[in-house]
Amino acid sequence: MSLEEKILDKIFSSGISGVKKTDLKKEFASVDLDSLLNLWIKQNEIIMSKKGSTSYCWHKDSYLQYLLDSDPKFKYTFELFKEVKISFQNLSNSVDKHVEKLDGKMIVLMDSILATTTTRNPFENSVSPPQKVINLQNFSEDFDLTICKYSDSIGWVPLSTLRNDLSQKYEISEKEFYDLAEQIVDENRSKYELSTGGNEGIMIRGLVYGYVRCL
Amino acid sequence: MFPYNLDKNPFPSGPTPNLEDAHILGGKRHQEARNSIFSCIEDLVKYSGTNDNNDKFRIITVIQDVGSGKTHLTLNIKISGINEKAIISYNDMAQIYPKKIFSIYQSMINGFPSDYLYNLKKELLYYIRDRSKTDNKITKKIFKLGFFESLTGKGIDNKILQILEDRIEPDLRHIDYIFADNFSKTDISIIKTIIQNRFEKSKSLTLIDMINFLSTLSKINLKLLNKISLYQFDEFDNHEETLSFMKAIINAHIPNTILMLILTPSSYLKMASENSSVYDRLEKANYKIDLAGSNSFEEISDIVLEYIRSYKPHATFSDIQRNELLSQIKILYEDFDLRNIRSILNIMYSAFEIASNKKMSIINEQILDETLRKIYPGLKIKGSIVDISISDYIKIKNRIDFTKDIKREIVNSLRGLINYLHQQNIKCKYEYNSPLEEIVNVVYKDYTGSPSQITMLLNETTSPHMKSTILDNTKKTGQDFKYPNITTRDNKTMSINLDRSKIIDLLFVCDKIHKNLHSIDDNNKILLLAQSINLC
Repeated sequence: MSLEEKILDKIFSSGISGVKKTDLKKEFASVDLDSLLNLWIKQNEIIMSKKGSTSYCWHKDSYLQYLLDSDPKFKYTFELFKEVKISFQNLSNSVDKHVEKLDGKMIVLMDSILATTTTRNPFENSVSPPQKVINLQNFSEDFDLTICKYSDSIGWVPLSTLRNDLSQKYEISEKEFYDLAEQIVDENRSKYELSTGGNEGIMIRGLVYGYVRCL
Repeated sequence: MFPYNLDKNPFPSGPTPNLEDAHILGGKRHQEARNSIFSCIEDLVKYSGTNDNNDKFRIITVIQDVGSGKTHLTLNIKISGINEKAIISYNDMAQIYPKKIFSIYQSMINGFPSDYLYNLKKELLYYIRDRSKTDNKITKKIFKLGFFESLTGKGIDNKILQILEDRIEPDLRHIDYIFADNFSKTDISIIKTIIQNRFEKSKSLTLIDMINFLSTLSKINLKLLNKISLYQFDEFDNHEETLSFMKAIINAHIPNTILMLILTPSSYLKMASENSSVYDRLEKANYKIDLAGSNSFEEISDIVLEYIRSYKPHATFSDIQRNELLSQIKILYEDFDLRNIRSILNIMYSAFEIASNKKMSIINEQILDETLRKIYPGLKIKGSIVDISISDYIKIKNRIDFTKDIKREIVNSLRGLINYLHQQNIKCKYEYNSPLEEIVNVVYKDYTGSPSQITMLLNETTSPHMKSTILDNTKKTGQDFKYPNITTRDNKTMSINLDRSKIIDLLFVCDKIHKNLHSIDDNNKILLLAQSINLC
């Protein structure tokens, strides 16, 4: 062990009591102790402070404990900081979790956008380009609920009434509404019945089917 | 001979039903609707003969879309056995013009059987004869019976015949007391107009006169013919005068009478906004016949079969033949959007005629193909982009329905199409002889598990080592089917939706390429198909 290491070890082993600078000078008279101590102070390895009129040296870890034991003001301030640190850590953890969740949702959203865009091929795009991504299942549920809401005694509802409600809710155009309505009715033929008439509706073989009901 | 060993084409040829066609009524829902109407008639018959205070007026509404069989049902009731309990006046509102109250009233009278007024007159004369037997003097005065005529026993009957033949006129000044027991003074004056053949010629009637006339007719129908009165209004509309007249009839509660109104949902809902008063009365109809599901495939197929069954109950019509015929009707229904019974019956009639001319014993896809080309020239298969013939379409569709490995069929066809594109020097996203088994995955979208709609995933790559995206095979998962989440692991995975018509197009085109039957004209269509499924 070199002389310098011995000095550091001495300071460290003194714990929270610290070691007198004068004692160090006596023990290690052969070295330029002041220069060494100044260097370590600069490097934040040790702390030098006075107890009364005598200078003492502490290792940085022991000095904190010394202050906590000897200075009630410092101890109180330190406790306050600790509480602030804990609450900040909690906040930080919660923000992290939210960010993580958002991240996950963004990935799902990006995946679904990718899936939608890749599902559509150029030919289909040229025929009927859907303008918005709409969850068909949600739309279908709302479609049924709106039929129930407006149906007459035998269940018929003008499609224009459904269009008014659902186009607003989903922020879609008339054409988009009828594209979706046609898809729902077409996929569930045993569930819905269409009837001709009305000024607007689903076109089948040149006839406007403007009324719908659930069977 | 006609298919299935029938010696006559069993299907009606007219665009709308007539009385002759209406003898046969198939379809579970239509038959249920008829039973409901019969039960309404029988219910009224039960109360009509009694003196209780039950209201003896009924309303029936039949509301369903055009072409769903409402007129057929209405006519079937008119000619059914129920006409022993009800005298029925059928009115087609489409044939009444101008739509004035008086013209509607006249139509109601003319809607009864053609000999109705003659029979009524005859019944009235016999009623007079029977009721005046005790007073020979009055009888002689009414029938203007002379001394010598009265010597023979049949003097009065001969006079009645002469009156019915309009050779003489009875003296009606003496009949009031004969009818006084059962009829009011107004009724008796109306009865006189019937005997004098002036009933249908009455002009300048007020609305109350018409209501009185109809009430009297109902009373006579019940007393003399022992029948209730049923007025059927087909194609019932929202015309102002029509609705005013109906409102008056409903409010008058004409005794022993049923008002049967046949209309579309569209007219019914318009009525709600335009004449809430009449709408409210119809909402309270005694019987609201709902032909819900009348355009379903089950209903339509049952109606078609009923024509064959009714015409020849023991006809040669095996289960296999029946199922084959139904599978062809299903194609018309699903792939051509021919979703009402009127269109299907029209096709069936022509198909039977063509099959008979060709001496075919069954209706097959070639017959159906020829029929559609003949009666619907230019008819296209829904969603198809290549010019596939209907018979080819049916053949391939049946092949898909019965195949156990649709993926293999699709992969082979795709390979054929990709190789063809390479041969034609068309830039394709896939290599010649690509190992498609590895890069194609098929996901079934139909909730029944039927491969009618398929999501096909292709890895858009030229590398044979690129692995495909793995998806759950959701085939035949039953009613709880949910669309799979398609997660793309790289930008090169392509998800392509193929509906039934595109699958059939693909298989058809590749069959043609394989058999080298494609022409130069087909090239553009093949290219269009390849583009539509993102191969190039």
